[in-house]
Amino acid sequence: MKSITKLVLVLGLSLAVSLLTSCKNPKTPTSSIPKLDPKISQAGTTGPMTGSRNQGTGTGPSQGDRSGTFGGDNAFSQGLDQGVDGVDGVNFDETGIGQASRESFEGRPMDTEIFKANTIHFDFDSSAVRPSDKSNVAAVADYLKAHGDCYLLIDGHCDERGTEEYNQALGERRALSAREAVTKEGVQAGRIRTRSWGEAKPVAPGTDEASYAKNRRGEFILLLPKAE
Amino acid sequence: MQNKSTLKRAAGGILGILCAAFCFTLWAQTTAELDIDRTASLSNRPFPIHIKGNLASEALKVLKFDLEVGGCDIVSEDAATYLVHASNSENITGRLTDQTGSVQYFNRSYKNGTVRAQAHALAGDILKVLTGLDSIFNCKIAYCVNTSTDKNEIYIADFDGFNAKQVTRDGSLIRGLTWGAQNRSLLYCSYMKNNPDIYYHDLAEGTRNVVANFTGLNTSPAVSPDGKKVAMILSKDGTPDVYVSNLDGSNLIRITHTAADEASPSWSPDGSKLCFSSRISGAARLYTVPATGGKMQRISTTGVGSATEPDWSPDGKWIAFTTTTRKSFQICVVPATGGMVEILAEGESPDWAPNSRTLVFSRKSGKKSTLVMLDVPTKKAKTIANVTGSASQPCWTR
Repeated sequence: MKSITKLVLVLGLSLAVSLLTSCKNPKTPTSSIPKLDPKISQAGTTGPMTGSRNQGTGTGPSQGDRSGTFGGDNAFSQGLDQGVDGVDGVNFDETGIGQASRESFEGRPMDTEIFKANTIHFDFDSSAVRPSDKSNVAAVADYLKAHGDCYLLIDGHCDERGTEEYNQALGERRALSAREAVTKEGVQAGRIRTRSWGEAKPVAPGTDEASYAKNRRGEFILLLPKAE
Repeated sequence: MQNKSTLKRAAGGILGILCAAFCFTLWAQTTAELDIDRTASLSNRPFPIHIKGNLASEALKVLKFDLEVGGCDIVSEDAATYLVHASNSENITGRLTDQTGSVQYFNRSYKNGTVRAQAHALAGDILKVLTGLDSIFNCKIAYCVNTSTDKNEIYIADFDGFNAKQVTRDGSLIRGLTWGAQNRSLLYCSYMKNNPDIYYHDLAEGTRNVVANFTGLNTSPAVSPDGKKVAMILSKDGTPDVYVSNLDGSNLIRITHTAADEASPSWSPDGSKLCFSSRISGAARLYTVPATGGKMQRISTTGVGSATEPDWSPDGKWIAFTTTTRKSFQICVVPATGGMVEILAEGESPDWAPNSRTLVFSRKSGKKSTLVMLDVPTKKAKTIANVTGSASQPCWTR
C-alpha cells in the first residue's frame, strides 16, 4: 500500500514536471499513422456473378392507367415551395403495368434501324406521350401486331438538365409511357421491355433548347425472334 | 488521444501537489476556448490560422489544403487566432497554439506512413481541436471518371484525389455509386449487361454479384447503416419505386406504391427511415418513409422549387440535396425535419463526409465535371484538382 502511494507520488511528480516544461521543451507524444490502403481488386467483366436472380413479376396490366400522364411539366417550376406543409401523410396506391420476366427478351437480335423514323419526343421534364406522336406509336404497334414473334425494346432518354439519378428515373418513365401507349394500340405489355439511359446518350451535343428537345426522346428497337 | 489521457492521469496524480493551480488554469483556458468554437451550426466564420515552421513543400501543401477543406482561412500571423508550429525532418511534428503561444492545444509527432499521410493526420488533429469532430482526412472517396459521354469507370482515391486506383474496366456506364458496409464493397448500377442492373462489388475479393436485375430500371442502391439491407429504385412493377432487400437481393420488399417516379433513396443514420425524391406532387420533392414500409411523409424544402438526390447526414440532423432550375444545379441543405433551405453552392450529387460537416459533390463546367469539397458551416469550397478527367458521383468512405 505504502509503495503504491510512493509510486503514484513519484509518477505524479515526474508527470507534473514534464507538463510544466512541455511548452518550452516539448516531449512530444507520437502518433503512428495507420496503413490506409485497403486491398482493391478489380472485378473482371466475366467475374463470378451469381446466376440471374430475375424473378419476373408476371405480365398483364394491373390497375391504374395514369402512369403516362402523371408527373406533369412543372417539376422544375421556379415557383418557391413556401408551403408550411411540413409533413403531409401521403398514401397513394397506384401502380403501372408490371414488367414481364427478362428471360423472354434475352438473346433476341436487335433491329435498331426499322423504327428510327418513329422516335418520339417529350416536353421538358415530362414523360407524357405527345398527341402528335400518336402516329409513330401506331406504326410501331401495327408492325408488332403483324409480327407476333417479335418483341419490343423502348429506350428512354433525357436532356442533361436533371441530375443523373433523377434522369435515370425520368428516362424510365418516358419509356414506360411509350410502352403504355403501344399497349393501348393493342400490343401485349409482356412483349415490351423498357430501358432508361438517363442523359448518357444525347443525339445532339449542343446546350441549346433545340439540342435538348432532340435528346428528350423515346426510341423503339425491334427484338427479332431468337435464332434457332 | 494519448495527450488527453496523459493530462487526465497527471491531474489525478498531482492533485494536492504544488502545480494543481497551474493545471487548473490551463484546463480552464482550453475548455473556454473550445466552447466558443464548437457552437458551430449552419453558419460560421472560418478559423483564421497561420502555419509556422519548416514543413517541406508537399507536406505544407497537404496541410493547407486539408485545413481549408476543414473550414480554416490560412492568414498572416497577425490575423491568426491559431498558430500551427510544424516541422519535418524525417517525420512531421506539429503543435497548435493560440496566437500568443500561451495556450497549447496539442504537441505531437507523427511516425510511419507517407509524408502525405502524416500531414493529413496533423491536419485532422488540428480540426479536431477547432471543431471537436473526428478527422476526415484519412478517408477515401469513390467516384466515376468518364471515358466517353456514355461510358465511365470507378476509381478510389484519398479524399484529396491522390493515390487513385481504378476499380472497374467494364467499358460501360455506372450510376448510383455507393459504399457498402465497412467500406469493403461498392454497390452501383451498371449497364454492362445492356440493362441498368445493381451489383455488389467485393473490393478485396474482386467478385461481383447481382443485387437486382429485373426487367426495367434497377438503380440507386443505398446500404443501410447496419450494412445488412439495400434500398434501391426498381421499375419492375410499373413505375420507378423504392424497394428494400438483403444485400444478395433476397427478401425484396416494395416500399413505395406510387404512380409517379421515385429516385435516390438515402437511409437515416438509425436505419429506421428512408429519404428519397418523388414526383408524386408533380415537381420532385423530398419524402421519408419507414424503412419497413408505411406512409410517405413530405419533408418541406421551403425556398426551392425542386429537390432531388437527398443524402442524410451521419449525425441525423441534415439532409443535403440538389435543386434544379432550367439553368443550373445547386447544392442545398435542409434540417432533416424539413424547413428553410440553405442554398450552398453550384453543383450536384452531394455526399456527406462522416463528420456531418463536409460535403463532396460534382460541378459541371461545359462538358467537364470536377469534384468539389464544401465545408458547410463556412461555405468554403475547394476543388479537388488532382482528379484528372471528368469525374462524378463522389462518395466518402463511412
